[in-house]
Formats: sequence, structure tokens, C-alpha cells
Amino acid sequence: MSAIWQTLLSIIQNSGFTGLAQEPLYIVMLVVGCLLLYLAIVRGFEPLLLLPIAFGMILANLPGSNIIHMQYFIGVGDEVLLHPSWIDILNNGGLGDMLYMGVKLGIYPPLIFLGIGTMTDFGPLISNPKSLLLGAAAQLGIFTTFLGAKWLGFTGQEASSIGIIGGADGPTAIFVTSRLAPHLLGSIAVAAYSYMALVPVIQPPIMKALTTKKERCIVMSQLRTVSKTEKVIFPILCTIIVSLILPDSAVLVGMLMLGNLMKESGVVDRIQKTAGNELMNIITIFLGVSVGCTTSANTFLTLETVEIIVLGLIAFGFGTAGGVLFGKLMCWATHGKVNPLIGSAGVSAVPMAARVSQKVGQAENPQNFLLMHAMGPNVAGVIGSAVAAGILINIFG
Amino acid sequence: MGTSFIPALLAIEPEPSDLTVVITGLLLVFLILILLTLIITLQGKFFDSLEAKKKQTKSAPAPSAPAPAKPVNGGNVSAAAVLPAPGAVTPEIVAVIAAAVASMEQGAFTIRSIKPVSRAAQASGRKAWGQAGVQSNTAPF
Repeated sequence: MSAIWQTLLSIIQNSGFTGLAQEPLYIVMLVVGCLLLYLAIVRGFEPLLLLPIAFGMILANLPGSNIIHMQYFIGVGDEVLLHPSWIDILNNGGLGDMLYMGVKLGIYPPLIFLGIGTMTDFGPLISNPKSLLLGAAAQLGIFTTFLGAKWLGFTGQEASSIGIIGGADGPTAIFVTSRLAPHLLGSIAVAAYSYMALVPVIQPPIMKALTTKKERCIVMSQLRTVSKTEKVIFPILCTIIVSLILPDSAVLVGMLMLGNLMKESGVVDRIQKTAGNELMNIITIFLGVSVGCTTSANTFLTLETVEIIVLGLIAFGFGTAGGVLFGKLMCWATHGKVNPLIGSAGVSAVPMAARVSQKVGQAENPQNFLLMHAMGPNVAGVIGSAVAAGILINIFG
Repeated sequence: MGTSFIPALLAIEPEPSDLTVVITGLLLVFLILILLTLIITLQGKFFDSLEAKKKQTKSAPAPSAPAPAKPVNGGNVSAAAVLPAPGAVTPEIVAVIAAAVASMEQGAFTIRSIKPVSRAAQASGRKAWGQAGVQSNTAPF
């Protein structure tokens, strides 16, 4: 009888409830995880990433689950590890540790970019190469946020990781953060994907405030058709040039362009379909769950997370403003041929930001179809944010 | 003394200032994308010139074929039926438009006027079918 009681007692002592009682902040994290699940499922906030991230957060904050051991990757407290302790991970690691290795080793974000490349059409960009400049201007959000983060007391590496939220590119943000500031990965990923879902809410007021009605009503001339040869040469040329100038961006730009080349060449239909569908879905699951698992009460429930959320909003705002203002400059330089609204699409939330340009333009002039014109800066922004990421990794890596 | 401390200095590289990072970063992003813009523009012009050359070689043999036929048919022009000017609204076009409106509206309607829209008046430069296609494809957005 006492043996049964002892066994029951030891099971109860090892249960998660004991852990919750010892560390009540776990309960707060579970509530935050459920809130993010609500946003993902009911409100539709980027559910493909936010749902696995939120669920990973819940799994990692159930005491005793041992799904992940962040101390093996980044150390504990002041003891910062230069490299993860791989032996400990392989001997004692849980599922979260194994999946997180793909993030830490920089495997998942480039493979997601591979999938994104298979779904991207660079035609509007090739037919109007000036869109690349709008993609560059929208990266203003990254660097202004970097300044803001440094002003708030973050280190150079942390500020770069927070700044990359302004690139509005989830895989790029995760790629940079996992290298420069892995302890902030959870907060930055949640902020990045939440704001990407809020692009239709954040952008229109800024776009309307910075443009006149006359500018918003500008109808742009039809884009020229782009031949298949041009579409095949573009990814090859882009990879070689950008990677020679900035080798740190080679892996992101290269995989994006590889995916695009697979699509445009038309000769590798099977692997193109896999890269854009099955592979991307698998990597999305692994990435989401493992990033969610990195969130713990002591890294997530901090003033830093609040600051990151505020800085993320600033990043998106300045990115939109940078693109629109450069669009106004181009409008002036071309004597009214460019509608400044397409500048906001330089924020690389593809295709959401292009749709926002379309909607705002159409609200002013129902005959105005800016969608394809806005796709040029939109995909240029993906290249721009990958280049900016390479620059920051080069300086602070 | 001169070279002994240089390796130590190189080992401890000071972090660049915030302004340096921002200006360098923005400058480099713009320079790289400007370079890409120039290369793609040149590529576009190269392919455009190739297309133009192809069109020239195709259209050169074609005009030589109708030219000899003209003097043969010249005398019959006045006897042939006079075709309406392109863009004019003929009774047949009115009938087709009325039938199309009737099938879409399925109710009482009166067509008051039908005018051809000149291409110059359309800012987008698309033909009507193209414009309708764009409108229906972008309607969900």
C-alpha cells in the first residue's frame, strides 16, 4: 500500500503542476501561447508560421517536457557559449533541440527562400528595373530601427537582428537573428510575423499621409512583356553579381534565385514542385515549432520584448515611408509616370504589400490597376532585405 | 616597436559607430541594387534590339508580295463594296451590343448611344478586352 502511495507521490512530484507552482511565469507563457494561437486561427495572422510558433511556445513552457534546452545553444545567464555544445545536445536533447539545429546551422531559412523563389515572378521587376531602387529605399526601416535599438541600449548584434524585422522577411529575420542574437529569436520571430500580418493595417495611413490625391491617382503605363530568356538569365546574373559583391548574402540570394531558376527554366518541373510545396511545408513546420520552443519566460517576458514589439512597428513604418518617399522622388524625376504608392510595396511582404498598393490606388481611382506594377518593388524588396542582412552579418558577425 | 603592436590592434577591431553602419549599409544596398538595375536595363535593351532585328527580317519579304498585286486590282476598286471606316459603329455592331446587354441585364433597358473609345483617350493604353481581363483578375484584391 505504501509502495503504491510512494509511486503515486513520485509521479505527482515529477508532474508539470509542481513545476508550474515553482515557476508561475510558465503559466503566463502558456497564456501568451494560447493568445498567439487565437490570433493565428481566429484572426488569421500568418497562420502558417504563427500556429507552429505558438504551439512550440506552449510545448516548451510545459515544465518537465524537456523538449528543448536553450542552455546547450546559448549558455546560461552570463556564461555565453561561442558554439553550441553539440555533444550535450545529441546526448540529452529533446525534439525541439534536434529541430532547432536546422535554425542554428542556418539550414531552414535558405530552404524556405528556395521555395519562395519557385513562387516568385520577377517579370514585373525585369520589365521595370527601376523598381529595384524602390526595394532599396524600403530597407530604410531596417537601418532606422537599428539606430533606435542602439539608442535603447541593445548591442550591435541585437540591434541588427531587431532592425531586420523592417525587412518584413521572416526567413531573413530568423537567419540573421540565429547568427547574431539567438537569445532574441523567439521575440523577434513573433514580432516579425505579427507585423507582416498587420501590413494592410499599418501601411495605408502612412501611404495616404505622404502622398497627394493627384499622385495616388496616377495611372502607370503598361509593362512590356518579358521573354523567357530574360527570365532565365536574371536569377543567374543576380546571384553571381550580388554574391561576388557581398558574399555573406550569397546563401539567401542564391537559394532564392535557384528556386526561381527552377521555375523559369521549365525543365525541372518535379523538383520545382517539391521545393515550392512539400519541402517548403516540411521546413515551415520544423522552423515554426523550433522557433516557438526557444521562447521561455526569462527571454520572452522581459522589457526587451516590449521594446522589440515597439521597434518592429517603427521598422515597418519607416520602411513604408522610405519606399513611398522614394516613389515620390521617382514620380517627380519621371514627370508623373510613377505612382508613389508602389514604393510602399518595397517592404518585402510578398504579395501582401503589393495588394495594399493596389487597394489604396483603386480606392482613389477604380480604373487604376497597380498590382503588377507594385509586384516589381515587392520582389525587389526581398533581394534588398537579403542584401541588407548580408551587410549586417558582415559588420557584426 | 613599429610592427609589433599591429597584430594586437588587428585582433581587437573596434565596432563601427552607429552612423557609420547606417550610412554604409544604406549606401551599399543602393549601390548594389543600382548596379543590378543598370545590368537588367542593358539586358532588356539588348533583347529588345534582338526582337527588333527579328521583326525587320520578317517584315522585309512580306511587303514585296502585296506590291505586285496592287496594279492588277486597281481598276476594280470603285466597283467593290465600300467597307466602313475602322472604328465606325455599324448597325451590325449595335445589334451585337444590344444582344450582349440583353443577355447580361435580363430586364428592360434602352441603349441611348454607342461611341467608339479612342486608344489615345485610354491612359492605360490597353485594348478593351485587356482592360476587362485585368479588371476581372484583380477584382478579388
